[in-house]
Amino acid sequence: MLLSEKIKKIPNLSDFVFWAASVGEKNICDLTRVSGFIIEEDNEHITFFLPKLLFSIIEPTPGTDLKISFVMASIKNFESYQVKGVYKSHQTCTQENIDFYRLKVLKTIEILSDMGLDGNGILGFLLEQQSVALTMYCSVAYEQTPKPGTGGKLID
Amino acid sequence: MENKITPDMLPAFQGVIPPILATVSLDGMPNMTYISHVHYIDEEHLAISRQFFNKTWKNIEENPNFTVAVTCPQSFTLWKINLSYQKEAKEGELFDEMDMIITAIASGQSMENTFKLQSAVICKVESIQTLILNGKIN
Repeated sequence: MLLSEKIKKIPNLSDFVFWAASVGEKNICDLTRVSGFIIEEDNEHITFFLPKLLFSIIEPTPGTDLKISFVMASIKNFESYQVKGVYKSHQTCTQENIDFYRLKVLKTIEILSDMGLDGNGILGFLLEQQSVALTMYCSVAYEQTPKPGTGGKLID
Repeated sequence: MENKITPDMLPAFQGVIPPILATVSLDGMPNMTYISHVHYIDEEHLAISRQFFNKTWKNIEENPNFTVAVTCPQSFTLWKINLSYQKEAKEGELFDEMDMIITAIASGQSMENTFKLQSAVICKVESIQTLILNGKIN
């Protein structure tokens, strides 16, 4: 699936926060905040970043097709989207990855602080650890901005 | 792993930092959505606000075990609470109380016409995991 124009603008926006989820033991969902994401050149894969200590939440069992969901949500106006797909690969973050998500998280912390919240308290843990870049194939995307009729598939 | 809501968790249910709900479909695909309000009933029960919830509700019907992540706005502790669906309330004291809270949240966000409570989804707390403790990975 090719990602829509609405999603392509988000990696560089600072007012969005991100969550990733997979399915753990007993078929129960497990989830964590993540630091940010980039869209790969083929426009069908995204790579998101998360602290190494939280990677076990998303880490696949070898030989299985791990299903993953990724949510992006604005902290200013509730605009939100969800991408679903499968795990493809992971690696330790490059310095370029770290520089990208660090700048973004710091700006988000600043926006939260401007809103009267302790942005560093909420998101600071995303900056303190070694981090992992996880690439997933995106099979479907949904708009989830709260409004009547929301939840439909996002297609250009 | 704990399975009771403790007093230090109560600020996480005040609606300062939006909670996120994660369910699983029959084919094993996770689904996440922000929700307006998680309501404390007692140390073993919570209610979540049902507003839009199309995919989420379908998943809960297929798999009644799901997870909500809540964050304390004071300590920045983030808990993942595994819940099991018990019943839905579309009227009564709990519904009215949650409806009033949702209306207040919506009013604060100028979304009075968008946030409309359909029901209070009453859940049992199955287990609680502290993911972030006082702002640090636990």
